[in-house]
Amino acid sequence: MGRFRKLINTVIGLLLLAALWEGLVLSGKWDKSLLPSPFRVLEAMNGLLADGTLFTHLKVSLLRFAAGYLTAVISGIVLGLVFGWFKRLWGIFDPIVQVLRPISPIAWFPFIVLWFGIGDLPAIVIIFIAAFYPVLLSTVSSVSKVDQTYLKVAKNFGIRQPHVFTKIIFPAAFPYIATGLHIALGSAWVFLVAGEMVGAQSGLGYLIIDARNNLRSDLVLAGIIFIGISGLLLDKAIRVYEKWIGKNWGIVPNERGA
Amino acid sequence: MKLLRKLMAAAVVLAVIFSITACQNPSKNAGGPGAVAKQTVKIAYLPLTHALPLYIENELGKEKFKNINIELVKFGSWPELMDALNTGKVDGASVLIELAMKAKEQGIDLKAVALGHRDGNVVVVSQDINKPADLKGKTFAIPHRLSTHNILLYQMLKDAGLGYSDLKVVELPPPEMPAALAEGRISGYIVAEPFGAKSVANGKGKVLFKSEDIWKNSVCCALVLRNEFIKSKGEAAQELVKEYMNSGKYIDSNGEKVHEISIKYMKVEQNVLDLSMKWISYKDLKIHEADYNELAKYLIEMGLSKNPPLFSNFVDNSLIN
Amino acid sequence: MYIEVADVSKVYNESTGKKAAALDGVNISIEKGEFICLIGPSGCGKTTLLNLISGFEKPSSGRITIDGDEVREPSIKYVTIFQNYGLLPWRNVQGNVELGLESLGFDKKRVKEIAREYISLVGLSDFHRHHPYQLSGGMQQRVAIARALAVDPEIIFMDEPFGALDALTRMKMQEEISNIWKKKKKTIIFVTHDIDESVFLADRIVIMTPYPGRIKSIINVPLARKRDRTSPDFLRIRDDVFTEFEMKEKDRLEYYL
Repeated sequence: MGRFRKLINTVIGLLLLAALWEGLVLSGKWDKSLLPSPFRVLEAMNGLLADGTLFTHLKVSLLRFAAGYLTAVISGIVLGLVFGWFKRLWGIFDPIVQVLRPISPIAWFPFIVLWFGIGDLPAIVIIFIAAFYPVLLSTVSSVSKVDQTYLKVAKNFGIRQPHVFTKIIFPAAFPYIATGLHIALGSAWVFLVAGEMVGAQSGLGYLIIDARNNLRSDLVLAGIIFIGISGLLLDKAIRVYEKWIGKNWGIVPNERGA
Repeated sequence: MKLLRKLMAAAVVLAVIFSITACQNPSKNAGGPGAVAKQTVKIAYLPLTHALPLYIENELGKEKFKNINIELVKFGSWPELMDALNTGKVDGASVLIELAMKAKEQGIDLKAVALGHRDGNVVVVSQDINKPADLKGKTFAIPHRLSTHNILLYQMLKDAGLGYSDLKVVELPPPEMPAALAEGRISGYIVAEPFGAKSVANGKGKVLFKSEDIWKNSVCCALVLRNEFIKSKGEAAQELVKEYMNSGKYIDSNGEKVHEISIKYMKVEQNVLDLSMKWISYKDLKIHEADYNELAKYLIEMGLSKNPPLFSNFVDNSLIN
Repeated sequence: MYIEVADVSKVYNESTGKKAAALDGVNISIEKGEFICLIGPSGCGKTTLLNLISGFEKPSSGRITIDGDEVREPSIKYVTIFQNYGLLPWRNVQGNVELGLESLGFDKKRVKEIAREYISLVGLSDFHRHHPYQLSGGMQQRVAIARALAVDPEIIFMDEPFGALDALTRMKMQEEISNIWKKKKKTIIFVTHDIDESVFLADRIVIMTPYPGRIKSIINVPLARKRDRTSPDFLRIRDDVFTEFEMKEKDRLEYYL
């Protein structure tokens, strides 16, 4: 579908949504201060953009997110490669991971505060937890997907560890790992708001919580929209990255049908 | 291959940089050249009118403080605030006294040193409710089982000859209460300000009772400090509480300025805030033994606490003098 | 003898608990510089034999030696070219050919040079920056060959390397490998199921039969290269192979009027 077409469709979709929303507000069923009209929200969004509040908070949130996400990616990939290769080791750790994984990071709050304090670190830790498991698990499974022929070739040429990891296993596994990175990105971004509940004094999530406590539903919605847009942009960024992988690896992960 | 290695190196470097910069808590320690090193005292709070003395103290104290700097840490809800207080990540908090009592019961060494306010809680009901009996069979919201609000509810029902079981009592986060009332999902609620005023301001609710109508000297929020802070930094604690009490006195006689300051910390709409301030008072923020014991009695009677801490163990009025 | 396979058997444990003999009592001696084809139907053990000699598997009984040393594991001196080429998709042609060289301790410049040499040997100089997925099957196989040759191995094992190519490309590749063999004088052990291919390439054709896998007979191909696929000599040997596989009736001179 042509890019122009796509853009038009998106705009139409958004306009329809806004119209529906305005309709709901006009129907008077809900109190104006509890469900604000799209215009009030737009006003609020403008306000946040104009006085620079948005950028300050967005920057802080992005920094925290980057720290948590990148740490999770690096540790997840390294551990994933090790566990994927040394199957015995994975046999021991897999059950532990399976027990810890379904626990929402929010449940860990009291311990996170105890071990990491309040402010920036808990937010980073929570994002780390949310991103870590998808990366770890997709890396572990990616190792088993490595074409055995590559390993034979490595053996034939006398390539030894750790070169087998760096030259063969990691590059071969990377497209699958990239899928895990993509999933982890989405899953971790969702927890941004939760992460900033523990004593953060800045950030997009903090903005929303504070607006909520101040009963400013227009600000809450404005914050929500900004978080949504940021998440979308991050997703687009990682798709560009995946395309680049496709060019260099000869396969594009996540393509429809691939 | 080279490209891959470069990428990995870049990612590691980025991660390290971000971790470092994100971890740095920007210290707002004022003090120009030649300033004495002031101690930073961290106090946690929720943006309620019940913590007003803290806001005032923070604003006025900037010039008055000799030994300390206050750092107010805002939280979004009680559980996270209590986590911080219990683990010592903050030195004290303006908090529901019952929550602090529970923590004390469980072994956390806390001391209540002053009240946050007097009164300031209202029972808000939907327009079709005119007396407590009308609430029979309806749903009623409180913020927390362990709160003065719950006690006030209990008292109100008792006075009207009703029991807890005559209503459906639910716990809701305070910001959600005005919406729930407007939608008819609850018929009434009782909570800290400014969430009560909100419903009155938008016409969806009215005040049935003020807290002083039900319980004359209700004890709700208190300034609670960690005992280790009091013990190890006695002078700082003294100064903190002294200025806190001064702020309480200041509020009564400086309406205009107080309004200005409160807007900074509670970004609620003006009309809501005005309403809120009408039914709260900050006179005499000392915790009296009789009032405290009445509170403890209620907790036992309602089965909320088997063994509330004794006044002598939990309340420390020595810092007020 | 350069390569000695002495009374080798390979037995696998099947999932049912029974044992299946992939190879049973195989004996063969191969001289240095020979071009040997292993040919036979599925299950005859030709790939297994190749794996055993190249060191990817160990025999259940018997012994395999190369130049007097027992074969225990794969070595860079005896390179295998696989049917699916085994090219690393994230490296371009240059990077792939350099792979083996990286383990030999040359400095970076030398590695690049040697790789370039062999890439041009297989005629792919114009493509050295391409990635495998951008190349045709035949070209990919040539990259694999260049990669193998670059480390200057003593033996090259090839496991149905042209199986995935179309017939015309296959014949072209056969010519190329034949030329390379002539030039470089490597020992080549080549697994195939294509009779014409074996007659075209080999000095000796090893005919194998299945259940259990063993060598039925070995046919000499004393033809000079470059071989003509249509010449009577070629066809005669081809006939012999067909006969071995019992796919040709014994010669009966009959005239039809």
